[in-house]
Amino acid sequence: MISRILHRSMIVALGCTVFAAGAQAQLSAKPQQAEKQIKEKIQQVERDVDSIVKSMKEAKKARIDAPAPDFTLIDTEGKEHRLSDYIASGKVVVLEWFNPQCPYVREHYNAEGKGTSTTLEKEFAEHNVVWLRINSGSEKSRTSGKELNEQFRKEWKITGPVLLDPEGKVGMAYGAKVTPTMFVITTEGIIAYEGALDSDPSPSKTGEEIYVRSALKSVLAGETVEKKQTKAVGCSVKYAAKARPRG
Amino acid sequence: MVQTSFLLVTALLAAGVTGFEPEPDDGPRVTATLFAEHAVVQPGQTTWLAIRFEVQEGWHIYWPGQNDTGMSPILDWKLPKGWEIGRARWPAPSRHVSAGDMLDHVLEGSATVLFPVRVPKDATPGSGAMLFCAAEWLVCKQMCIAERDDLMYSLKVAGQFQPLPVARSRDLAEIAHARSLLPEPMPESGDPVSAALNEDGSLMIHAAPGVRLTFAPYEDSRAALDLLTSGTSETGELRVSFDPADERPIAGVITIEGNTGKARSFEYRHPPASSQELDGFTIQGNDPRPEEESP
Repeated sequence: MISRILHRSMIVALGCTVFAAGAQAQLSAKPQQAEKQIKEKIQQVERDVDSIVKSMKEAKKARIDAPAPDFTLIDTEGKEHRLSDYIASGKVVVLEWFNPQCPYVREHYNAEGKGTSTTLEKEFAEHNVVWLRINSGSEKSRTSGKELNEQFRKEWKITGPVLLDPEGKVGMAYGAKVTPTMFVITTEGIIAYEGALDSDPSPSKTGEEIYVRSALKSVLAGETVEKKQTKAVGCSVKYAAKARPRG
Repeated sequence: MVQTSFLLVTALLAAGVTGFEPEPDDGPRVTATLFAEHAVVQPGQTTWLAIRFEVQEGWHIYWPGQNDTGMSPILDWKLPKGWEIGRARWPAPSRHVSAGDMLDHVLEGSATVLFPVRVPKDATPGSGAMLFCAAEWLVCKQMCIAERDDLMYSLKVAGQFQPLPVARSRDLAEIAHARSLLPEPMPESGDPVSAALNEDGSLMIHAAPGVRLTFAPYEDSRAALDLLTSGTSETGELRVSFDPADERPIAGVITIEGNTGKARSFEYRHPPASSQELDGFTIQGNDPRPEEESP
């Protein structure tokens, strides 16, 4: 709902700019014609957002530099989150495949809320970045379930939601094999980064380069991400036995 | 009533899947032990070290191959200055497919990795040498646990009155056994297995009809494609394709398993590696530890 409102207000703001520019250019033209042109411009802006959302809905499999497959998942508090709503409202989105009992995930959290993941989340929150953690473990897996994930969300002072994907559909669409696997999605709904959170492959220390930080900085500056893809290292995602990758 | 017992059975089965699994702080799932071929070494000599991983039943650690998940053990050696450590020799892995079509090459039960070590020519006779390895590994079952251990071994460089290397019989037996389990070189005769590259860059492996064949590429090998389906067959024939954009050498382990059930494994490399490359010695000394003691 909020995103819908934001979406509308953005269009209105853009519409005003178009109107100002249009009014200046159309001084000698007929008012009806100017109005028509402005309407077309507004529709174009609206269509852009719509076409972004459309391309995300059509995307079946995550690929670098391609639209991020849309999804709707419920978080540990029972709230619904739709990826394309965040994108439509102008957010950059970070996806983190999450399992609170995996040592490679635990490496990035602590009770002070000062782990790499939560620190980055806070650092970039003011820059319009939303952090969505996704647990694609099956219901039978001891690492899934809303109670356990909510418990760790609170313990580790995570700001954003932890989304539950017990059937593994979203995990499969994104080809997430290990936790953590990170994705950075631009306001255009495009996957700009996929891979590890940082450059160290062990679960005992954080690497010198935080790939996600570099990717976010580039995306926010409107630049191409230098390292678009890295190898995510971690625990296997505890998919349900029936989970199958999409072709 | 029928329904109740059905529910009970279901509940028990579910508990079997998840409920009885040990908690992470129940103690280590893996014990790592360091062995050395010689207790007393000569300057300039090559000797062998081994690390044996004893993995609890049902759990696995990761072989250093092209895996979808996990991490192979990180073995960070600190040897005295000038000592050289060579390439790790791992036993053949087994394939482990988990939900979501994820393929890993893993080691289960007891698995020993061997390393050649070269003693510097100018090692001081009669001095002591401390070999140190910070080992870190991920062990998984239905969940994963990161474990680590610091392994140490104290060797002596032969002195004036003890000029010959001295083997340690218990360690020698362990190392000999581990060596017998390492992948063999590819047989020149083509029996029991042969492998050749096709014009299209794929690898054709042949054994007797009906033999189960498996190819497991090393982590740093040219990337194999679709190993889940094309990494194993039961027809005595196996064709493995590789990423055409990847120019690294092909290196991996071919395992054959006939009707007798006894598996044999072979190391395949293309192009063939020189013995120097295979030994893979790297000299120590960037971060020396205070190991050389005065005689």
